[in-house]
Amino acid sequence: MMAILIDESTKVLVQGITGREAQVRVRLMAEYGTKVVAGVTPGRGGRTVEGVPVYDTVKEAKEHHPDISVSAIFVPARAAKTAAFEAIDASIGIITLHPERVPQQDMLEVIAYARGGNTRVIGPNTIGLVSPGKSLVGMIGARADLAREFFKPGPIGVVSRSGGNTTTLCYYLNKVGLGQTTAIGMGGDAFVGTTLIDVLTLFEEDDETEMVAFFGEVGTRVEEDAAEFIKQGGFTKPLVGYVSGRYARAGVRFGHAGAIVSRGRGTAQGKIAALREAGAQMVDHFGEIGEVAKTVLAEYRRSRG
Amino acid sequence: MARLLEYQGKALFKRQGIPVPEGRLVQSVDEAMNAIDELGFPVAVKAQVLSGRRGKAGAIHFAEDRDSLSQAVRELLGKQIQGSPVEGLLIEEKAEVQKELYMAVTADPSTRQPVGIFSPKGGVDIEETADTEPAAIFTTPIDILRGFYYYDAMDLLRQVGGLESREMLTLANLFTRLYQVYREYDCKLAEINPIALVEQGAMALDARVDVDDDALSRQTTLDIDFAEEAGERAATLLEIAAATIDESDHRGTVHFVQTDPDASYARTAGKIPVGLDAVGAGTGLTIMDELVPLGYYPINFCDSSGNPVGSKFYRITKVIMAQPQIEGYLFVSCVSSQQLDNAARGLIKAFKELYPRTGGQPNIPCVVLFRGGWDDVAVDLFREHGISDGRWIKVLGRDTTEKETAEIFDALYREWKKETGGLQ
Amino acid sequence: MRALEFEVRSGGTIRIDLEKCESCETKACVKMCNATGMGQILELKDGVPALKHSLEEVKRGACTEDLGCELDCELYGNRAIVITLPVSKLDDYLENSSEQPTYLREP
Ligand code: SF4
Repeated sequence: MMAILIDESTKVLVQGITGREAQVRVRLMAEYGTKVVAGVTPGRGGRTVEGVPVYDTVKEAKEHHPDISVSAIFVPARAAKTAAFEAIDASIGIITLHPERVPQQDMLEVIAYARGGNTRVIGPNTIGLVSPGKSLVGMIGARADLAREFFKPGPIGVVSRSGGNTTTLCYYLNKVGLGQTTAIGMGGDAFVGTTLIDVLTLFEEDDETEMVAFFGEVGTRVEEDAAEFIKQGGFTKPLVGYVSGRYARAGVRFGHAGAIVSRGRGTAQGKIAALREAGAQMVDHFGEIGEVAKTVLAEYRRSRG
Repeated sequence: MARLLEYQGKALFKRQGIPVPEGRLVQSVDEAMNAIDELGFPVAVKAQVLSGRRGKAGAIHFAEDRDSLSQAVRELLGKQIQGSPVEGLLIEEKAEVQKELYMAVTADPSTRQPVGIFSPKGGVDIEETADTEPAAIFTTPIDILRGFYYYDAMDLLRQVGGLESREMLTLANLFTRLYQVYREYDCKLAEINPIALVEQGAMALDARVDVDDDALSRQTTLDIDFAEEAGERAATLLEIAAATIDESDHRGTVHFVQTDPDASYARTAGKIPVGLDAVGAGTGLTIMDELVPLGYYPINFCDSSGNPVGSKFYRITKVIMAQPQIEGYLFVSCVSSQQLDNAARGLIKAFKELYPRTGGQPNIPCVVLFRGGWDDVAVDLFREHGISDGRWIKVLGRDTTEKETAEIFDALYREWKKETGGLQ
Repeated sequence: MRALEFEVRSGGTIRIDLEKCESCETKACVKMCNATGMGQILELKDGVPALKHSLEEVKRGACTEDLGCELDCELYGNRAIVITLPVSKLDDYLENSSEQPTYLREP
């Protein structure tokens, strides 16, 4: 069965494969069963990392492995834009941008450039994504055995603005026996390539996904825009969620670039209200999301006979 | 973002050919008197602080002669304006203004591209205008790959009405230069409010420039040595110290911000100040959601992400614990993909050095939650090193929610307070 | 005094007092270094810990600063390792702070 974005047949390229972080994550992906077929580090062509051949450019990697469809980018933040452009130019279908603190205008360029091509950009500052039992891209789950424990196949689509809490959310769902179709860390920055609306659209179209669970945060208009999208009928499945940061004071950036309330906009309260109004079930304590999801799903199933 | 002071922003404007009034930065009455010899009266005397709305805060004076100038300088220097001490004044020629306008370039979160913003109602808070008179705000999306040209600006300005052709051209040229400032210096916001239409053309009477702190490493011509979001105030010494941790080593990051540097907000709100380290910003926010209703306020926020090396955890723990007001400490991880054993080692080394007499057992209530990669190793390390045996520390493992963590901290704090009477 | 001293990426030094190592039965530091992370910079040479890589490589990041060698030596070895990791400008803060941090005070 085809999950959204990635599945067993997905062939993955890793850009920046010779770096410390990438090496750890290549091992994770390979052990999970993801087909990591090639790596790129300019100037290091001809080597291998964890048995994966390294090429000098993405184009060269594609010449040897024409069926690469995903590139996981693990380069320093300052090199992220060029790496993304290179992947877009090589028509890689999906790229996951993992570096943190990518300059905002570099990201605006990447988003604009991707619009003109055939590439979906996930991130930056994304932990990656996993379709449990099928494929894993990025650093989500840390270790293959942990990833198998944290992510189970099931009917829930998971999306989170917080990398770490992508996993926490799945953990809470598993505790009540709810597995996931796909879990995606959108990336915490204010400007990401794939927005919550994009992810909801993918889950809406995915037959295996019966409902979606979401972790949100203060800052940006991500939740408000999604609420509007739901109200307009763009997403019709049940949505359960938690939005963190009710006590975040305005003007303070909480960790990454997206999490900042400015001038009374982007508050958790506003987001919770907007999503509730759009029909989402918002929980007051994150740890309760599993139980609530279970109830909502049961009702949904009943209502559909 | 790193917000520039007005005089710094105007220096960038000047570099890109945006006219600004002749001015001098001064830090004493003597310097002001020297400056006036070059500028001549009348002048504006403007306190250089980061907070907005300086007009309303009494941070801008005007002087017609030496007496009123020295009085204004004396009054403003050393004054606190919305919590920031005034360390410098910008003395500027006072322009004869015919019209005050607004112009800005920033990134639009919904379209995810730069946007040029113009309003004929300058000089007032643009947020207010947006609320009360949205029709007075004109915007144009900018294709970042293509750039922004004078005719793009002209087409925007044509919609405004009431501007003469020559005025429009002047403003359009200014607009493209402002876009250059935005691009050249990696701004999150480049704003002129107000622009004055004067006899010779247009001039930026104020400058607000917010630079993306994630781009500071390539903005070497900007004199900013601090890269963390502190909001509308200057960075604290402790934030500056914390920022050095990420400078030399990109293996993971530790974003540290003092959300309440002197704990005055916490105390006024009747909350107990605590120190916080979170693996993941979302986790920090979530634990805050649970702690605040129980009566605790984290006076710092710290997001340790991207799988930091052990030495970073060691250093940031020392920074967090250096806050004299904290009556407790929490380390909280999400179900994380990081190597939490590294976090544990960093914390353990720090605790041992901070509490040498007890072998690392703390004297204030501390709760440490490890969930995720290598969490069992992390919990074991605390036990092996004898720290978990301490009276005032609880080391928790995976099967604990944020709510439970906050409740466990609450119980520990109450017991500590009862038994020890709290810190002296 | 025989010692192995080297710098690490983040700015700091690791110093191993090799005299203490001779009588060490566990060589816990070497085991630890090779068991954890991607570090693996220590090896045994002539019965005492030595670097597998050049000082430059270690400083460039071969040492992953997991601090395991120091902590394990403390528990299982002869307390021979001292890792010094200054936080630059933290002293400025502490000196300028009117109150003492809580760890120096008594509850
Ligand atoms: S564990 Fe300590 S004493 Fe033993 S060899 Fe290593 S450094 Fe020397």
